[in-house]
Amino acid sequence: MTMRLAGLLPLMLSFGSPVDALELPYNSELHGFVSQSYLISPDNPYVGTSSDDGSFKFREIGINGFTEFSTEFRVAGQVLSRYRDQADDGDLRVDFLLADYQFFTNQYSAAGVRVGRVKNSIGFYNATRDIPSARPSFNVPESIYFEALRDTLLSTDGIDLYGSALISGNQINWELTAGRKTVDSENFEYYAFAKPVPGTDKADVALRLFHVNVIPSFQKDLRLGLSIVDVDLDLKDPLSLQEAQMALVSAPPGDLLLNPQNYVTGAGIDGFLTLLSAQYSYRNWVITAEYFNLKNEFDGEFVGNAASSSATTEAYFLQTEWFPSPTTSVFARYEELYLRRNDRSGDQTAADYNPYRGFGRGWTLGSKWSFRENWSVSGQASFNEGTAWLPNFKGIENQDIKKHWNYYVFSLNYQF
Amino acid sequence: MKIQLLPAGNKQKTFILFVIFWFLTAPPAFGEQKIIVNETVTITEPDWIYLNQIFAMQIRRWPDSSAIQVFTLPSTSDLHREFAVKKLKIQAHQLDRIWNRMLFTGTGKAPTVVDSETKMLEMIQSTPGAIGYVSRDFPVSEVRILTGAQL
Repeated sequence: MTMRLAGLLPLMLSFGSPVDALELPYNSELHGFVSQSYLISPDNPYVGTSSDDGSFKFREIGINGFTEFSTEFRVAGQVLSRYRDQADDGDLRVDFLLADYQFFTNQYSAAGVRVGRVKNSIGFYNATRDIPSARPSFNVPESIYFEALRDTLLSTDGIDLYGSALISGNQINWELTAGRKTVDSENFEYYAFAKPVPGTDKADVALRLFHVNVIPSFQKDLRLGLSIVDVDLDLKDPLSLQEAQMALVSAPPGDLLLNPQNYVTGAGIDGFLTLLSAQYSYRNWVITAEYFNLKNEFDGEFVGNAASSSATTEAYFLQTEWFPSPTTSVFARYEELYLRRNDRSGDQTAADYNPYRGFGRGWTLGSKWSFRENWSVSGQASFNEGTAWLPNFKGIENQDIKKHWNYYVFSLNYQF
Repeated sequence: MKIQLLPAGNKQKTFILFVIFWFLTAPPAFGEQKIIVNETVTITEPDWIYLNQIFAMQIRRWPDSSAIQVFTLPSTSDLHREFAVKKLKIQAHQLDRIWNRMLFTGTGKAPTVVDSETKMLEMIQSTPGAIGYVSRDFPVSEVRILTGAQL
């Protein structure tokens, strides 16, 4: 699939700017992007071992289109291919596909409804985390938008009510979303157990979301955001009780305690996420901060025996961006993530192969240069302590994980 | 008595302050812009918030329910950047992000970009519901110029 998509590249390059773009009938447009990265991660394996001494196995391709049937009614869709070494093979998937009916609008307010697969507006970056032109560099802040929850939170199949209003000079944008989706469960398995769970590879996710952004009347350069998400995830088709009992019989004594993930007969998480966002723009500077608080109620079943626990995952970042010219940007970011907020050293979540998975602290420096219309190059360097946001991949449990790890990325991006 | 205006130890600090000041200073003004609309558009005195909403592509229809067609110059043009700050009270890079966000989340679209003021005028003249801008001294005809205290 990736190869076939790569074949589209020359075709895409033949389009000019968004303006002269590909004009389609019925007020339609077609757009897309390609991003190819070179990633070096000398200390820890970054979604595979290829990046130890540098790898090109990082590529994102997206193609989207929309058709406006009237000013009230439009449909839009996007397919996305992500190639990330061991974690993602670049298979095409539907990123969003929606019908949008804006039933009310006047000079200062609007309201509408979208139905289909919609991107979830969580914080400033969730909906655009895969869009190179909408993020500072290779990735969005990993403390809050860490890969383990990506699939769970990215989008949902359901309904999205949205609106904007001007109330006493305050500009308000809001969204209410509810839906369900089936996702790959591998990331959840590593998030919950640090290792893969036998038998299952999918999870059902139910999600309800409230999101609001406010530009207050007293300070138009300020943007405040609040996202509240109620998310439930359930592993599909784990081992049956009989299979787990069989496994236990043939296992060495004590293995149930050492490797509980091998005896999971049911697992799910009820999560309640609160995300606070603030952004201040001053001339060619943008300062952004976000705080993430996810309360997890974990319900598991090990060889038929129920076990539950709760924990709060906490994270924040602080980021400064500077735009020295219309075509260049530079940023610096500091961030922290704790899988359990009361366990800053990560002792409770330590795994045998990785004692550092419960916490992450790090700096990222980066820049972007749009060297010609539609094209940009970007680079970033990340310096980390603890591996809470080191992306998982099947086999990471066989790797030697280090506490201090850096990685460096260069990307070439094209968008039309 | 010797007055030392710039003690040696402070030179570095002064230099840093100078650099910071230089960074914070916006490029020189490009001159005023005038907002032009197609003759079918009936609004006259929009305030900046309304214009901000229109150019941020948050509003799709004019009060008479006809479609709004937004035209801009490239984000890198001085006229566009000056227009965004002066008339819409938003930085051009922030507008870019809003447009990219809408385009790539399926929630909206970006304006049509034209590469010159001449082309801008042509498009505004010929497109029903169109809104755009040119510099103050650019001669225009067969379009309406928006006036109002806020402009």
